[in-house]
Amino acid sequence: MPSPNAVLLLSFVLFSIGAAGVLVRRNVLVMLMSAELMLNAANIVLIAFARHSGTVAGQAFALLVMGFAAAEVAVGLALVVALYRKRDTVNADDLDLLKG
Amino acid sequence: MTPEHAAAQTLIGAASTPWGLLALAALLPAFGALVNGLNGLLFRRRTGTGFTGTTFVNAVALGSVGLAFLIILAGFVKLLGMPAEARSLHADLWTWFDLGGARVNGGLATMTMKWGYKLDPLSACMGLLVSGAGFLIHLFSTGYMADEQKDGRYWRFMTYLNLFVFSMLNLVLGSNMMMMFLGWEGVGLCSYLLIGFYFEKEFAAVAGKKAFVTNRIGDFGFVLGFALLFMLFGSVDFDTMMGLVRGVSAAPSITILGHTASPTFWFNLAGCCLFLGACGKSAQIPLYVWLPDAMAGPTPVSALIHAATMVTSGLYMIARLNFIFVQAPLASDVVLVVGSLTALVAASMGTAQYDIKKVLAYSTVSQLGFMFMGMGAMSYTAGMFHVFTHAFFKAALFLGSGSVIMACHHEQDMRNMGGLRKAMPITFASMGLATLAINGIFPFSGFFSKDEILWKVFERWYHHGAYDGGAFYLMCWLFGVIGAGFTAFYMTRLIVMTFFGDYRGAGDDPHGLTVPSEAHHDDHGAGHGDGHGDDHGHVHAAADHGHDGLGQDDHGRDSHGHGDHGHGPAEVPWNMWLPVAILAGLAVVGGFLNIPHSLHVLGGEHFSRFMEPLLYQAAAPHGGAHAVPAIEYALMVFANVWALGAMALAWWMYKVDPSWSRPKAFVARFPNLFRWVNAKYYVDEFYEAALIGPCKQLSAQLWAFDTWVVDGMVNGAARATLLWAEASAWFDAHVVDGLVNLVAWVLQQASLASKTLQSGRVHNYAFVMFLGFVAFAVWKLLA
Amino acid sequence: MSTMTLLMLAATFLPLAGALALLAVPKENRRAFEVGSVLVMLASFLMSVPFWFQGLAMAKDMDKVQWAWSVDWIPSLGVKFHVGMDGISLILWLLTTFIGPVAAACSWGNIEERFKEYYVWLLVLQTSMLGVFIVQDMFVFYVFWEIMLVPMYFLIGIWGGPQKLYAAIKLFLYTLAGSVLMLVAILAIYFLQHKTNGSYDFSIASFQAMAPVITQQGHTFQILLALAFFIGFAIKVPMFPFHTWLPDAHVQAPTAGSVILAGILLKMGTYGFLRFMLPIVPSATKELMPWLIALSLIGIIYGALVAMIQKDMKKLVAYSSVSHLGLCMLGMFAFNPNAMKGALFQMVNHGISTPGLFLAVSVVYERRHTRMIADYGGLSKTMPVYATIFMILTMSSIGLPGLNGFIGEFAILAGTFQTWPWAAVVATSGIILGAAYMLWMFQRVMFGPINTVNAEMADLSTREILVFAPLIAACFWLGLYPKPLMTLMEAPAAKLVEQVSPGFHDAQRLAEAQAKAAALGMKGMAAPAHQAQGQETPAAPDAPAHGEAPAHGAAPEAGHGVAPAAPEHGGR
Repeated sequence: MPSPNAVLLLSFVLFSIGAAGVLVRRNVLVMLMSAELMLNAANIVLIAFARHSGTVAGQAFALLVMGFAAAEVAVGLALVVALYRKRDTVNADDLDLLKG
Repeated sequence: MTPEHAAAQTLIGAASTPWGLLALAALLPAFGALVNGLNGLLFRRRTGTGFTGTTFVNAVALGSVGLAFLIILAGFVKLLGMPAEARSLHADLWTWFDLGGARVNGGLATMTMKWGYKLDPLSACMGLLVSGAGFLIHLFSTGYMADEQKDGRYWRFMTYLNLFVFSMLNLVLGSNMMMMFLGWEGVGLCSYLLIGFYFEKEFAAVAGKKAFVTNRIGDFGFVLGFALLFMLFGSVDFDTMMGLVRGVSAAPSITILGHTASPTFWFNLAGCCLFLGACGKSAQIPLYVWLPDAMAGPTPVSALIHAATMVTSGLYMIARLNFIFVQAPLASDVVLVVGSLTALVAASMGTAQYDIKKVLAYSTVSQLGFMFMGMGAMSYTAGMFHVFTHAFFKAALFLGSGSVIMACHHEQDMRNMGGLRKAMPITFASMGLATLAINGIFPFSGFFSKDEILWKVFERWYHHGAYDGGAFYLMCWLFGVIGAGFTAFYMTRLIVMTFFGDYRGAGDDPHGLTVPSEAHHDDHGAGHGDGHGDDHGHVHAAADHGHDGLGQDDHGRDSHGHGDHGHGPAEVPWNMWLPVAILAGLAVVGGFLNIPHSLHVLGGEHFSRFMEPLLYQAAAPHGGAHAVPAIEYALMVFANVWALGAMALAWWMYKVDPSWSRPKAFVARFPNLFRWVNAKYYVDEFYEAALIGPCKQLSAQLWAFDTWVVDGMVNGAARATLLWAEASAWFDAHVVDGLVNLVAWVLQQASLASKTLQSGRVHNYAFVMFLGFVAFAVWKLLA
Repeated sequence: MSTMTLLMLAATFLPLAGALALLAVPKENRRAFEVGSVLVMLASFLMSVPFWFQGLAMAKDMDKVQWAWSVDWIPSLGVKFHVGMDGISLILWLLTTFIGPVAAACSWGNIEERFKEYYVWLLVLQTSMLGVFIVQDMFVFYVFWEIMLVPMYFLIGIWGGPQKLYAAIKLFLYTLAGSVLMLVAILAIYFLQHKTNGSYDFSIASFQAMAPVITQQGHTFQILLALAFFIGFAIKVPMFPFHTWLPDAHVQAPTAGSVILAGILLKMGTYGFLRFMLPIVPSATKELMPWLIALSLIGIIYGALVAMIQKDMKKLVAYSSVSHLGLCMLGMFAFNPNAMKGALFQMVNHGISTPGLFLAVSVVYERRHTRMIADYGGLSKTMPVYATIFMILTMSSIGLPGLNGFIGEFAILAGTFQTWPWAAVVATSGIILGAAYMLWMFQRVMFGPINTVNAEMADLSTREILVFAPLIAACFWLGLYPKPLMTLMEAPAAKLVEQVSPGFHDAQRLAEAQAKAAALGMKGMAAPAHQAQGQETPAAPDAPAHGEAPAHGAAPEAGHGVAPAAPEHGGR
């Protein structure tokens, strides 16, 4: 079994990739995928520490997050599809209706 | 119910016998009207017989009235079989309404009105007259209204007639004044409907309205009299009032309505109010104007309503309430003077009319005046007796004139008639006899009734050999006598113009007497609409051709072409001449029912004796108590000579010279006199100018007042509020709202700076979040 | 809560429930609204019928509020939802349920757009009017009173004639101004009540119980109070000179609006007078009496004269309402039991014949879209059934004996004649004018030559006949046998008179006893007159032998006893 440090490192790397993806990419679809990546990075940490501490609470929490993530993806993808139909684009820079 | 009431009720109620059939008699015509009316409205057919046809309508209408007549006849026979003091039958149906206690003279009375009928000598005679004459006139109508049987509104006529008989029976058979008022208004309504039967003719509709409204003016008096009587007696039941009247009149003074006065004062007041009601219904001065116009209705209506029955209801009311009038000397004098004036004035108008029905209408007004003279002289049986004889001969005359009019193709102008004697012998004989009766020639019925009235009036002046009655009564008597002379003149003139000479309607008119007639060119039933009407026509003719009032102008004649009728007048069918003949027969012999005491060799005063229990005896009856004065015989002879003289004058003027040169000469000599009489002294015009016009003007002014002042204040308030609102709005927009907008403007300017931060791009926001997170992390790690 | 109370509430709120149900129906479904609203109104009417019989069964107790039920609404203000009816409320409540189906059914022919809203508003209006008559709490009364205006406003404002907005706003604002004055009076009494006995109570009974206290207040206060009530209700009646909204509202309103306006809404004003002004401020009202009578008389004559000149049939009928209600007010202000009953009766009469006349006008309006008298003439020829019905309604309106109008007019005149003879004389002359203008209109519309346009008008359809049928039947029924209605109003009228003139009935009983004694004296029985005048002498020993025992024996205490009344009731 890997050490907590290793797991933390992996988690940090995954989270950073996700965060960078959200901040850098302009494609809404990719941004969604990156957000998923960040969630999963957090899940890994939760599971690792649950194992480490010998309780199941962390694992249960991870399961909950996965559920939310699924819901989020469903809603998010639906929005993206609707957005594409309406505006014919998935580029986040084109969507600036809230500009002041 | 007060105890007095109850006591009186037991006193008189005991003498009255319940007889339920009586109610049936009164209600049968209503039933007939209901059946015919609903049938006509819902299942009417244009022509044909059978269930919805003429036969059915006739069966219902005649059957119901005939049956009512038979029932009343049975009641009459029953009454004859009873002792004189107990001759009373009654049928109480239900309590109509009950208003509770009211303060009246002598305490408290319950204002309870019963729906009840009673049959006593007076109402039995009137009931027989109404239903009997009603039946005959229904019969006559089956012939006279033949055109209407074709155009589908015959049922309507018969419904109205039945409704009229119902109302009239309520009036005469009702056991209290409320029932009388029900009938009183009911006959007014039926009269309105029947006068306006040819409603397409504007003048017929107007005449109907005039009749109703004039009657309403009378009703005003009736209602006030009614209320006064209730206040005096605490009841309006005839028997109860009669039972109480002795006690009421014996009181030293009566306080009602916050005013104390002697019983005589109150009786006078009530009597005058009631007489106003009688003036309206019985067409006396000043309310007589509706009756001549009412001739716009079909002739049977004129006979039934405006000669035989309805117009006598005022007389019936006074006879019924004789116990009031006997103790109201002033009111009686008013009745007398109005009656005698009406008798004279209306008779004089009758001498200058050319419309055969108009002549009879004025004659009716005048004869009603005679009846009121009898009432005013407190000789109620004489007045009522004239009601009956007049009903016979005037109904005969009207129906006869109806036959004549029909025979002459709905021509009503006597100038276009003439020579009908040969063509219509039965009608001629009947009308001739009726004329002798109305002229008061011995021994026809009119003599007995009219002479009795004149004698009673004369007796007020001349009494027991002393001329102490005041010249007032002599004057009234003179009016009556002159009126009687006029009567004989115009009736003879009518007969001569109609039945003697040659028929002028077919174009044979050597003397140029005919006038253009509107009746001829629109065949009856086809075009009621376009006839402007005889009424107006004659007024205008009189105004236009006043100087040759006998109508020598025949310029319109040729254009109308009288010849197109093809056949001359002929006798009418049996169902028309039979009623006329029966009525004429009654007019001949009717007088023998009440032979005055002075002529007792011929018979007795059956009618007066029969009525006697209903008359209030203020003092011992003097009839028969003293010897007959010679002057009474002298006056009888004089009356006959006087009437015969007037007849001879008419004969001389219109028969002896067929070109009527003498009347023409008279008119030429006194053109203005003729014009005034022909135009009925311009009374209608006077009313129009003095009452109706101002009333309409006032109404228009009030309407303007309502629009401009009353509503103007409301709208003015609205306008002022609006102005105020505008000012407020300006203030609001510029001052109050200005402050608000200022605040908003400041805020807006401030926000312009910060708004650039809002890029609307998701990445910018995420980046800021990320920076924030980094900053937070750095701060946390460093701390 | 008894079954009857439940039924009363159900009948009152059924139209509202019906309105809610109709909201769910698609708006294209015209027939559903027409039939549905009539059915709801009819059901409400049928539910109200038992009250007629029960009211008759306990007619003697109808001066008190029956079928009462109450629940707290706003306890801190003393507001209760308090319902119940006495005789007066019952009569008007029944009139409302009776007119309801007629109003709904008469709309079928003349409402051509926005059916859904129309029938919903009509039903809401019905509930609010019924509510006014059953509530026994001032606050709730005022709520219903104001709610009533809203549906009426929309009925006139949306489905009315060319000047509908003007008329609707005028109606709303004018009557609102009146009700606000009334509210001021209500509040004044409410606070006075608090000052007097420390309670906050809006119940009508407690307001009426304030009458003696109000009588002791300052003169100006009383007069102002009476005037506030007077103006509030006079606008609603409407009395001269507050009547000008009425012709406008009537002319512009759709038929059902006119029917309800004439049939029920105007009765609200008279109801207000009976329920509030007379019992609550009796002494001030009595003081104003000559003025009120004068205004009533002016209303009678003025309304009749102005009606005569009208060219628009609806306007004519509207002004005739002013005249008729003047008569009604005269009866009310004459303060006499007969006239009071007559006024109550006249309210019902007017609620039957005037809606009938408006319906009659609308029949020809639907056919020709004009109400000008001059456009018609000779209609009797083509429309005999219509002419007959119109004639009956006209006759009812001008008071022909045998029809309902006569009974009311007669009772008012007979009663007024006892207290104000000259007023009765003037009012009687107004009735002549009534005959003149109604018959003149009838003559110009129904008689005379007919032109080609009018010759093609169809007579009444079966539906129209059915709409008229209940009104005609009521005209004859009340005219020929008014006794039940009279019985129902007996006790409340007596109570009202007693409230206004305390001691009236005692005096009446005394007079009765005197009359009895006098009659006994007349019959030669031993009943000295002084004995009947309330003096403390023992009853005559021989009295029972004559079967007069109750009256005779009780005569000495006639001043405050109820016994003398007993034989009177038995005697009827």
